[in-house]
Amino acid sequence: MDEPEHTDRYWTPEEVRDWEPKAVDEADRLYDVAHARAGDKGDVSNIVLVPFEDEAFEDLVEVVTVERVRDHFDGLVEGEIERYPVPGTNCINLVLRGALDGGVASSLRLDRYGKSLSRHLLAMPLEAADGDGD
Amino acid sequence: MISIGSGSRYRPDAGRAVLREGVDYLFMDFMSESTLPRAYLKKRRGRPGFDEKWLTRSLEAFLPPAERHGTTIVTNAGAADPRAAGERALEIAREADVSLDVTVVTGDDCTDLVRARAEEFGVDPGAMLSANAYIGAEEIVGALERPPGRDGDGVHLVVGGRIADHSLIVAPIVHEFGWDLDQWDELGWATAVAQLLECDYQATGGYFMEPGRKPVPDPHRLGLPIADVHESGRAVIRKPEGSGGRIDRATLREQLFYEIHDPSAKLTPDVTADLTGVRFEAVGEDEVAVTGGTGRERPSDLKVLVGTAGGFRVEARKPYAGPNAEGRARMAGEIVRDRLELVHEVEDVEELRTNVVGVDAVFGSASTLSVPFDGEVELRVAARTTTEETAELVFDEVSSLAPVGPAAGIGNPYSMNDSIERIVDVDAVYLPREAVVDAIEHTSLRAGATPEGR
Repeated sequence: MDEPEHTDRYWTPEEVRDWEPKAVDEADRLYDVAHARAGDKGDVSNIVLVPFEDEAFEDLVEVVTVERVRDHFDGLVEGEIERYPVPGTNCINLVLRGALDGGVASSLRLDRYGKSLSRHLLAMPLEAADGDGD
Repeated sequence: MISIGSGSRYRPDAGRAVLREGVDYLFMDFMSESTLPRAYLKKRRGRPGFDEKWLTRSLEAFLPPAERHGTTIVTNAGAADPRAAGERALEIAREADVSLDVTVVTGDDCTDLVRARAEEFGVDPGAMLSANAYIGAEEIVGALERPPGRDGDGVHLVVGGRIADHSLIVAPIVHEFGWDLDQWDELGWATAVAQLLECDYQATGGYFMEPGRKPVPDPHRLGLPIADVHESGRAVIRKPEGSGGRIDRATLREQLFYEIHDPSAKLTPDVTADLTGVRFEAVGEDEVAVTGGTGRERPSDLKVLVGTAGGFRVEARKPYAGPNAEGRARMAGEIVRDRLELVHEVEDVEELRTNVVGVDAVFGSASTLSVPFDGEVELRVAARTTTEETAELVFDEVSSLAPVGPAAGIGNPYSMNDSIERIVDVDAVYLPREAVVDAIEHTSLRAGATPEGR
């Protein structure tokens, strides 16, 4: 039990070598170029957006504006949205207030902690619906 | 250099592997925002005011390897009753024949202070279950001193209640390096290290892995993180030799901002930490050096979480599959709504929500999903009610849909016990630091000896 066998059933070095993110200008949505993690405090969710490639950071700062995020989260977020680009680590931290249906304690959502809000962000198209993405 | 490892209560085999690396300190974070009010509710009903199951499982696994290396264990697992948790730990140590000293930290309970200002805080004193201040390194650093004559011998357990997550890690660093509590840059950097460690597996591939694009080796036996902390302001985050998981810039960048709002002002009882200067450098396979966090003066007030008892939450499911599954699920939801309003005429349903799992149960009106006409879905009914009776009625109305509702309804997969929950609201208020820390006490417990106060 203490020293189980190593297995490559979950991944192989080849798989890792063969997968690579798309370049921002060839990608359709954030999922193609970044990963993300959501955290919760009260009725506030924060989502950090992490580009797979550091070169994508500046482009993402252009694309992932507070306005775009507000539109994309329409119906899920009631309050203000703040955005903190962090150049040193090339991440963008988004703070979504009123994002958890009143908070974990009393929320009626299936995802009370808002874990999946990070995935909703990744589903955001890189270009705005009106084609005015940049 | 000191080493600090994670002792997550989940998968105790991984915490044992951390201890076999001979770490100086093991932290065990048992808290989430709703942990304390629920623990006080349990205590009030005559049950243990701490998580006895997981404290027992953890310490049974951790005490023997901790004894071999003279490790100090720091934890907030005491929840609503740190003293009882400490006494339980002594029992476990006796059964395991491990030499254990316990230092209990009490005084985070601010119920009286909050009650005195209830009106000002907008707290209903009658419904208040708990009020606990986040206490920091200053309040526990003295407790880390080994009892006289026991230097490096056996296990020392420091157990408290609402010790701030980060402070479980910052306090040993302050203690070992003899820092002053106003060395803000040092405390800010130590808090950045703590931020990376405090959610255990979330630094090593947990809450991260995804088939194909975010590979994590051997996810069935993820290792827990260890920080080798150097006084110079450099820490190396690693995991036990041979364990599964992954530590690199990708896993650590996600965790650096977990539950962070303004990255230049992460508030803890110890410091206003600035995480924007943190830098990662790979120094080996699954080994990353962390440098660069800074800090400013700590907040003058301490954050206090106040738990109050609310009504009830109920959730019930009814799966449908095959042609027109979604249509039948939506119809079933409407029937439940009409039954409650028109037949039972209940008045204490504060909110009722009907969704279809697979379509809009997670993303609500922001969802653009659809399921195939011949899909598999679940009706999900969730409600907040004032009384438990109405919560039970909602559950029964959903469960009984099979014979009286849309065609081919499948049984509700959950029992009523799993489906109804007391709502505990948690709000933050702020108290002056001095008012809280005056009440902090350290108490030593040792098997067979009379407890002595600080």
